[in-house]
Amino acid sequence: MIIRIVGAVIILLTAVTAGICLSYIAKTRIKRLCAMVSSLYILSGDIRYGMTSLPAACMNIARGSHNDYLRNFYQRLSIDLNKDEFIVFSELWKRLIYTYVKEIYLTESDCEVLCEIGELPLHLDKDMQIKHIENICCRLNDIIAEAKSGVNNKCRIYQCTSIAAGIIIVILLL
Amino acid sequence: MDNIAQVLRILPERIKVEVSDVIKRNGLAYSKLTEIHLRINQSVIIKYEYGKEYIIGNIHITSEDINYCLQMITKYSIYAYQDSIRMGFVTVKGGHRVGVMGQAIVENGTISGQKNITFVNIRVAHQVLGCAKNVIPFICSGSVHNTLIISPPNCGKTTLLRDIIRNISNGIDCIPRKVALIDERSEIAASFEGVPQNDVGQRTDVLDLAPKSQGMILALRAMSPEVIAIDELGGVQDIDAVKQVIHCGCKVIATIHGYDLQDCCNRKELKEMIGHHGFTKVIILSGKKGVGTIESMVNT
Repeated sequence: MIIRIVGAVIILLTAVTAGICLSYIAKTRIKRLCAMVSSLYILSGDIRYGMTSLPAACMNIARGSHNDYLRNFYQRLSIDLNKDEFIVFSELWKRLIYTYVKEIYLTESDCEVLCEIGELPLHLDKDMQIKHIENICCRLNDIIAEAKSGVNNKCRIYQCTSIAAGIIIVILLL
Repeated sequence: MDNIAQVLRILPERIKVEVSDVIKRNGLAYSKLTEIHLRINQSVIIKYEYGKEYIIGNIHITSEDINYCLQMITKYSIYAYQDSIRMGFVTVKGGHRVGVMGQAIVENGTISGQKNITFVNIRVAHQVLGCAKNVIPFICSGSVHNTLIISPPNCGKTTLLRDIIRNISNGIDCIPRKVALIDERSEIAASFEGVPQNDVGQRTDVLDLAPKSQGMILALRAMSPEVIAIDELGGVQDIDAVKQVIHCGCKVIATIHGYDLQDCCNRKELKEMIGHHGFTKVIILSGKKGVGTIESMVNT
């Protein structure tokens, strides 16, 4: 009897934890996208006012970032750009987005938009770089707005569903 | 070798291999390499001391090769080097100057930039320490004198000026002085991201990529130099700025294109600067016995 009660509690706790995790992932997705947009604005500013080269600009962002994953992303980017071997910027950017930024929080469509930053027209003037970054930031802001509008409801659904699922499983097993 | 590695890293792999191969095959020293010239659809030409050149005929430069070089030179940030590219060169780490040319972008009659770069000339930097040993006693007898170095092209005036600055700054064979260097074309200090790649002395402040006339006045106000050094004295604006600097009690060491003193005196704006109220010491260079031959040193 005691074992059944303990088992039921464990199942319920697991279900509640799953609900909380899903809510956390949904909220963290928005935070990550916002942090990414902020970092892109800083990059754009560095290009516009400092005419800073990409490796230097990325290292500046890394130094000023409070988020570990973002710091690691920009640091790695800066180090790889400074290497003596030729790299294709878009491929490097994409690889690092998937390694450091996506993790379990961002969706594939989020990453597709983020990867488009890698298509920066580096051979053109600074205005083209800024316009490209601003264009992507605009799209990211739309994604963030859409995510924000539904996140509270989503979280409630996750939590309620997970509790309900836990209860049903307990009833079925009991 | 480190110095040359900075140059070779700019080149695509296939060109790097061929250049290294030619140098080894001919028993040449990397330290004497002066230029690597890349021209679209042409062979690579490498130049050595005394104008000797080698044509690497089995490879032709493609637009991908030029793009590779540009990306490596500018660290994937051509936009950040717009001003340099407009002036026709980019200085890379090690102090090497990479000249670039392509299609000019002209606005209101002036060149505002370049696009479609198809010609790249990598000029390998070599600092010759000690080449000013014989001229320092002449320039610094008593105190530093206003000095003009007259030289035809490619006779080592920039190299000599660099070593003069280093000597005066470090107090080698003279009393050490504070020097301000106006490095308009980034040739003397060859600054990379603001850091001089050549040794210009411990008491030297460098103003990189600034027009000479404005740079001299800025340096005078900002750094209280005892000596101002400039390369390739130009027109009336430069001369006026030199007059202002001398009037403020600062000494000027400058270079100018020319073949001899008479050649310089034929220029109206320069004639009044040679003598008691301007340059009291003149050094004339030639290439008669190789680069850096000091033809004469004259008190005016």
